Amino acid sequence: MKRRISTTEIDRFFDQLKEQSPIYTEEKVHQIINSPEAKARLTGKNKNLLKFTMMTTLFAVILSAVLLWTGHDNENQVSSIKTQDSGKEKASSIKCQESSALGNEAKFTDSKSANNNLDNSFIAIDSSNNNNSGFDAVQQNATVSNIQNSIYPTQQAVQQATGLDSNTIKTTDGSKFVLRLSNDELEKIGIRMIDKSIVYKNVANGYCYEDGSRFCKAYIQNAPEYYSFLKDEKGRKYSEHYVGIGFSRKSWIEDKKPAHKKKVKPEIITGSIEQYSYYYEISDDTIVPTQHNFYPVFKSNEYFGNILENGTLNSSDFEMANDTLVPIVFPKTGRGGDTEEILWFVLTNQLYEILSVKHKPLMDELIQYKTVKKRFPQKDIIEYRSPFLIDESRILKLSQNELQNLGFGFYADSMIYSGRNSRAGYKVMFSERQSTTQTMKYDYEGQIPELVDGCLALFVTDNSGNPLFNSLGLLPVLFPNEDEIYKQIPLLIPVEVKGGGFYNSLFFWFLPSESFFKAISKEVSNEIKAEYDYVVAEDKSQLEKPVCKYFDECKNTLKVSSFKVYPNPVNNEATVSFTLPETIEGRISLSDLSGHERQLLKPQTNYAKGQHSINVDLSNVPEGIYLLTLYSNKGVQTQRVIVAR
Amino acid sequence: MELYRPVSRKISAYCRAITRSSAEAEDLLHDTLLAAYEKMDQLRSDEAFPSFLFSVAYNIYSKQLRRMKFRGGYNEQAAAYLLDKAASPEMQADITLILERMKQLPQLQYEALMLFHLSDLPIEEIQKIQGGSVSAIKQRLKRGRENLLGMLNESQQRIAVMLF
Repeated sequence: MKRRISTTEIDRFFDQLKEQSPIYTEEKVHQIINSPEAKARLTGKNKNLLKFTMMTTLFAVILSAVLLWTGHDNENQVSSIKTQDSGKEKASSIKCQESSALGNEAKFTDSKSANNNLDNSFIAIDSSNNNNSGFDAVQQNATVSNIQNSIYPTQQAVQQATGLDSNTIKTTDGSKFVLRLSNDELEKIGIRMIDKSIVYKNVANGYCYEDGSRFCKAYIQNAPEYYSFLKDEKGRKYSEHYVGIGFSRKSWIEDKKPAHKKKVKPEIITGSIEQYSYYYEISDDTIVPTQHNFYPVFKSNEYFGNILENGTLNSSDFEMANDTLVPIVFPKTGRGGDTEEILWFVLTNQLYEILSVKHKPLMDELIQYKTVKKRFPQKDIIEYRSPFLIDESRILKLSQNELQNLGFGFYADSMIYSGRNSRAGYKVMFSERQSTTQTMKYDYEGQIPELVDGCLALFVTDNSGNPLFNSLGLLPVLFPNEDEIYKQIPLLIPVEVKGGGFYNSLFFWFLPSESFFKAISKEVSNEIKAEYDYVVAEDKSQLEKPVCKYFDECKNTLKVSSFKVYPNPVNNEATVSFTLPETIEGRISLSDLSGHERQLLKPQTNYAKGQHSINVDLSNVPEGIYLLTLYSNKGVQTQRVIVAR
Repeated sequence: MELYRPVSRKISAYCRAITRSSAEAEDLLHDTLLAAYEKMDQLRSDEAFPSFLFSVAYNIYSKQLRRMKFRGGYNEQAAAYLLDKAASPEMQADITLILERMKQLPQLQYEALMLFHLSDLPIEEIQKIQGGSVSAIKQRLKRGRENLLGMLNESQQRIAVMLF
């Protein structure tokens, strides 16, 4: 349904723009026009005025002396040319929320007296402009370059073994930089688990940054008897809830009074579901913020979509900004079915120190990219791309019959998908609406397609690569190990579905299981099977590479024969041997099983067509299982390697 | 501050709208305040202050535009000093979307729309800031609005998910 936008709405839009808060408070404007920079600008103008004033003063003094000596009363004349004292500046503490009046006020007043005030304040002003206290990081009149220099990481970590050259650097896949931290590391960066709540609260540069949710009880009134709730010691019915703190940046007031515990009224939020009402009681906020100098600028979902800004940069800046930010996965709140979220942190020296303990290669690489970004701000160095954004050629377009076999049913204004495998199943209906989600119950007996056993779409996405709903809480059931989910995505088959009363295509991502292959035509299923078997084979050296159509991993696999690493398991040194059908440029690196690069074994080199045997040193690598990969301009080839001593 | 206070929201809205990012908006306003403060003696009367301030902002931004080939909207830390916006997240999203569409307009049309709608200045004052004739300004405003309406009137489709 189309909605025409009228000129009235355009006018309303501009009115909304004008209603937004001003960029600067009055206090900040005071600071700007009283700043050294402002005075420096006026100095050039006021030099002549100052000279004139001083000469006038001197003349007045001489004249007074002469007149006194001659016995004339000149008090009035002297007093009339005395300079005015505009008063001393008062130091004031920073109160970021309220604007307190400053002692010395250079005013934007009427134009006739403006210059007089400027003269007076210029003469009478203290040289120390002492209205900055509290947070050292809040710099009066700070310029952008000052800010960058104050928290820009030093260059000592730029020495990086990947052989990156800032002039020839290419856009790199950012997924390896997404960090899943241990509880220890999370605590070090300021994320805390308190009473089942997950809270991030940090003060940086005069602002308080918050995210997370607080666990609390919701007391129920007038609930029907058949609803089950817990009861507290007073017999009150309650259920357990998480109330979002939200992702925000707020002004932070430094309380200079002696610390004593403040009594805060419990927060009460009322609401109603059907016939009963409930209210939350949230206890006093005793969470003391951490004092790190890094902070989150954006929040996104785990697929780099749904960007939320923190009032620091616009969400439209995300694409350019994310090259130099550190994406850290924020823990789930504990509610079932939540997707993960990523907080995008400014990379400062402090954050670098904390994360380098376990992630030094990645941090060093990020710092090098940050250096490049400083020189080439327009360059898109790191690409964070939803794994669901793929080439059109990968998408399977099936017939209506095949779609029905997979579990789709099409109706006049809606479409229902129902799918199930041995461990989980769900049913979902799609239709075009302009309202929000509703839960509905229908009697579809006889109309719902039969559930297809073993055939289940794990994700449903739109054409921007965003999952449409949170997998209905299924993913933790199917994949208890979270890393497994992300490894599965490249192996899923996206099926395009249209119709059912909506215009945009939806994409259902299926695991290529036997049931899936049975539901589609033999010709297509044979093609997919052959490619899938090649992709998942550990040793591809004996297999013939098929035509790659459905899996990027197949397309990206370097055509190479006899790719071997020996001995395997390896102690300290190993030999990588392979035969190339053509010349390539490549590098060899070692990464852990989640894909994080651990060590560059051989930097970028030209490898001629033919047989190669390359010795690699693994003596610095702890025992464990790794992936040794040859990356080249023609694709990649990987071999699992065990280091054992 | 008596002169600045009534115009503070409008000049902030103008700086935000005309620049590529909140960081640039703050820089522009900062430079505008300093330049205006320096040139206060050129102000003819109190009533002329809004026009004077917008004129200073316009000239500073025009110079920046001429100097820069392309400046990415990204500036890492500058916005730490920006205030929280009063608008709700939903409104912010709408404003961002419409501003992005507007930036696709021809530059003069875009500037004219911003000056006219955000500064509340009469067309004659805008003509003094932008130059050209009054009828040219009127044409720019008319065409700008028509082009903007055309860009914004795309069909909107929503899919609601109903769960059993």
